[in-house]
Amino acid sequence: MNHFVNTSRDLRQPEVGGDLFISRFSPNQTDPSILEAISIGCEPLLNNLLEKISESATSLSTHHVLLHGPKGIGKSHLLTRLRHRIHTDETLKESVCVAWIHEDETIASMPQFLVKIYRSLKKTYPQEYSREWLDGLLSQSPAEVEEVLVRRLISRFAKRKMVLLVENLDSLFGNLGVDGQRRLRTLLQEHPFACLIATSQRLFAAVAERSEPFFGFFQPVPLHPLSLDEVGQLMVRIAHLKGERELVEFLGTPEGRGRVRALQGVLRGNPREFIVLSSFATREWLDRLGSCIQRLADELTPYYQDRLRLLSPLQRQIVELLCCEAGTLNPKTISRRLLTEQGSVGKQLRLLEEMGYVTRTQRGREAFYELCEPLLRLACEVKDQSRLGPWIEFLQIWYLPEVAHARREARDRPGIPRCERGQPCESGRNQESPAFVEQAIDASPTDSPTRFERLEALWTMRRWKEGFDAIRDGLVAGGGDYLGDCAEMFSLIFQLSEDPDSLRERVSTLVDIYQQATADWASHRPRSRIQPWRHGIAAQETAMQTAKPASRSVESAAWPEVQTTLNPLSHLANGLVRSLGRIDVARATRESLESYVAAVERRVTDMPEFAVGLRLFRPGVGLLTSGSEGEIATLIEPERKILRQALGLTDGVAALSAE
Amino acid sequence: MKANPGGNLDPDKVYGRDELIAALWERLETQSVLMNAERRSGKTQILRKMLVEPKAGWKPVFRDLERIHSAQEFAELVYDDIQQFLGKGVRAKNFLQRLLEENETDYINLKSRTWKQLLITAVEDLMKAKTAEKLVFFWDEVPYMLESICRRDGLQIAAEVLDAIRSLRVEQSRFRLVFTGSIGLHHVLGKLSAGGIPTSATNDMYPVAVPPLTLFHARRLAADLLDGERIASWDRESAAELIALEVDCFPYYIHHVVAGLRIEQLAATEPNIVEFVSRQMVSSADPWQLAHFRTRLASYYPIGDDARNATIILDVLALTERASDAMLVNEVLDRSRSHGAIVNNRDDFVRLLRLMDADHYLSRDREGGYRFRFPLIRRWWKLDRGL
Ligand SMILES: Nc1ncnc2c1ncn2[C@@H]1O[C@H](COP(=O)(O)OP(=O)(O)O)[C@@H](O)[C@H]1O
Ligand SMILES: [Mg+2]
Repeated sequence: MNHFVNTSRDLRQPEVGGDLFISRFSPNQTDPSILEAISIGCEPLLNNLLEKISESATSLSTHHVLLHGPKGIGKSHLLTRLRHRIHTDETLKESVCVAWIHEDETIASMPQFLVKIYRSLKKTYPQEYSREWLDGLLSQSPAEVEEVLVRRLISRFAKRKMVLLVENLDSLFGNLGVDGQRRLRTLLQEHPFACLIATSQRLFAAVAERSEPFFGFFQPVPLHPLSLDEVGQLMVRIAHLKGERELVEFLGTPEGRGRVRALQGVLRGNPREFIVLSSFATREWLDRLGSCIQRLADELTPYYQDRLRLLSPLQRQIVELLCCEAGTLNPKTISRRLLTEQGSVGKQLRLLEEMGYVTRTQRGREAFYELCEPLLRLACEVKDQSRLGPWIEFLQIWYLPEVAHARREARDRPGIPRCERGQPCESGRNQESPAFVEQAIDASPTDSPTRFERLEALWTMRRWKEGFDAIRDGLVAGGGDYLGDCAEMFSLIFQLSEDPDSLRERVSTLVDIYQQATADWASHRPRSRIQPWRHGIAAQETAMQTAKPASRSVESAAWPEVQTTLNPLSHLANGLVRSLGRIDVARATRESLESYVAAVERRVTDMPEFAVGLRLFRPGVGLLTSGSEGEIATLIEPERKILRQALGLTDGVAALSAE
Repeated sequence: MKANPGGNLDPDKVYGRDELIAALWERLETQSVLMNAERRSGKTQILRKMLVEPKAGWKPVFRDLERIHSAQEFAELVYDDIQQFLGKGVRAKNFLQRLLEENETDYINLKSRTWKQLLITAVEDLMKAKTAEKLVFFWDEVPYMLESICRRDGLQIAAEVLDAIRSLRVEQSRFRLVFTGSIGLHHVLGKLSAGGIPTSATNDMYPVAVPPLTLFHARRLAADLLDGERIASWDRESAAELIALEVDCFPYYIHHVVAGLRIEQLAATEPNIVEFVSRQMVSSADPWQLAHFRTRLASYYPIGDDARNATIILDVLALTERASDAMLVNEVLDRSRSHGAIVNNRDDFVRLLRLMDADHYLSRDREGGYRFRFPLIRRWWKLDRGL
């Protein structure tokens, strides 16, 4: 099914550069019809909620729902649409009233809560509720205010139902305390006049623990990050609304989809970030993924800084520490680094988790923490992309369309004799070589992929040196557009090497070749075509900033070449991680894997291009051999996801084998 | 009909409770009732149905008592409700006012004196009045209130409240009570007697359990919910039956499963249903909070090795071949010992088994054999303990 925007709809179609107002932080400020147009995937849920409300309106039933999910996942967005739907539904608008307690309203007690409800009703239904009456009431004691308001609401809603939208239910409940919660629950039990549709960042004790008043009261509904398809649709819709034809087209190509996947790897399908991103995205921006994300982080920095300001000093320190860290950290390490008691660090971590700043992965009893929002790093690091930069570069290559990674099927070709994996091969005893192997070797190929193809045949025949020459040839002939199937190279070297020494030597030679290629290119190509991270993205960033403004022709002038430049070493590093998926664990010995890891580590440690690949490699081998997610608990979630993909594990399978 | 896990239900949507409700009305002719069951087992929905559709001749008044903290608040509430019933709502307020003012000088005794006086006055009024209908109070979550009173006013006062309620009951044949509680009242009473104030205040009440639905009704509930949520299935009847069986016919969980299928846009197929239920059981988020059945053992059984032994007993009973297999006390004892239970005294062991029965872990068959009361909990226990 295609969800392209129906342009015949009455939507503002601003000109390029015009301002399409999509508020990122207060969806309730945005024109609901625009929200409808850019909404992806929540239609079934919205209908479900409306059905529940309809049933409540026409019977004595009341439904209560808690929508939970991280910041920016679309909770307020959904509530805004829900209210809009209720107000535009002929029957519902007569039979229910909507009151909305917004995110930014701090409420400390039951009477305050009731007053807010009354005020919200007053705002939406000014004829029916009176400010004077409320003002008069407020001169009384809080207990009296509560009593009178309770009675008032009960009598007002004797025939009708209230739909009470409450954002950040966790903080409301926290402030009400157990006592306030009990009073609220009593009210709703004795007089079931309201359906609560609440939101929170996660399930929290006050609704989830059996001993709490509101245990099992709400139907919990998790909101999920946008899937790849949905992210794509969202970007297409916004591009449509903005009239970015070229971008719409690009998003439909394999490369465009690869770029979106990479983005999703960094942003984790958080719709808010994609909306912000789409507000400035053009085809050219998407080509420079690093700059694109940098720009996004810039746009969001004030927002993140605001959020950081809310934290206590220790909490802030913890967040900052996690920002500077490549992987996850356990409480013990955190407390050591911050010279603080582990007890108080643990407590703050739990709070931070509740507030949605950090998430946790378990390895047995041990907990490892990381930031929920990867972009928070950028806001904290103040323009130091040392961490995120290489990561984005890695993702950009990882999600290139398949052609660039080439020829997996080669390994399944019949007839090529192989050694047992990880078993030393008796060299010299030349397996009889099928004709086509000889053919492959003897052919004098013209295009780059075929040159690489000779490699497998050569190496299988133990003609190592010629094989390495073939790679060199291929790299030159490919002219940077084709860099070979590095995963296959690594896995052949691993499988065919006789002993740790030759394994080490071959890994080293392979890296030498790509290192040389990278150096050659750097000197032969215009600087702008070299991967940004090595030469400072900041410079590029400013270039793009100045190029950005209204007219796209300016931008295009600044970026005449839109083709992605591949850095051979980065490509090789990607291949290293990918090679994990081609290892047959059942046949590889522990020792052989260990020498593989050692060989790689020995050669590439300290090479910036390998920073990400190397970090993933050893845990990846661990995951491969043990099948347990605990092995990768020290990595952050997007990295864990990459490894699951590399090993062909769906999340579900990985979770099961972790049991 | 829409799946509604946790909300209040229209009386028409309360399934399979007609017989229980008829029996309750019957019982109320002669006796007050104590209804004790785990949270979310359907107590409140029963009361609400009785409230909206009362039997002729009865006037029910529903109160959720969990917000009540003190004897004073409680007495005021009862007083108000009785006056309301008698049609003297306004007078109640005046009386309260007067009472508070009169006692102003004697502040220290104010609380303890006035709440009792209030209750006494209320009962006197009720006795004097010749109303056409009989009054029945549905008091939901009584143990929470008693715990709060214990905390705020002390054990002594809590016991006195219970005694006062009891005298309300015996002196008035035209007045009945239904207590409900999700933590067993016996825990509060146990606390009182541990504090040296044993009370038999609820001995004259008739205890009623709230069982899961019968398979027949559970199946109907599931089928109607599948319809209401328009969930696809090859064979609705067998899907409904599977849902009912997977969750031991607990209506709350039936709502949950159907709501979950709807949210996740799954068809009601066997694999989907089975997988969904297992996921709730093994998920680290523990959406049904089953871990509570393990973690609360320590606070439920604080004496000696009780909590540890209880864990072992559950292990032993979880390892029988079928969930329905019951085990006689001596066998439970022998096996528990061989699993490391420390039991010095058989009587203590029997006492613990009885408590675990009262707390819905176990049930006893006709021959006196023990087994898990709910196969669902047994299944979870096995998963949780890796048995
Ligand atoms: N007889 C029933 N028929 C259908 N659903 C029921 C029934 N009893 C309980 N439920 C479900 O269980 C939920 C909790 O029931 P409730 O009576 O409030 O539990 P508690 O025992 O905690 O008072 C209800 O919201 C409803 O989803
Ligand atoms: Mg209840």
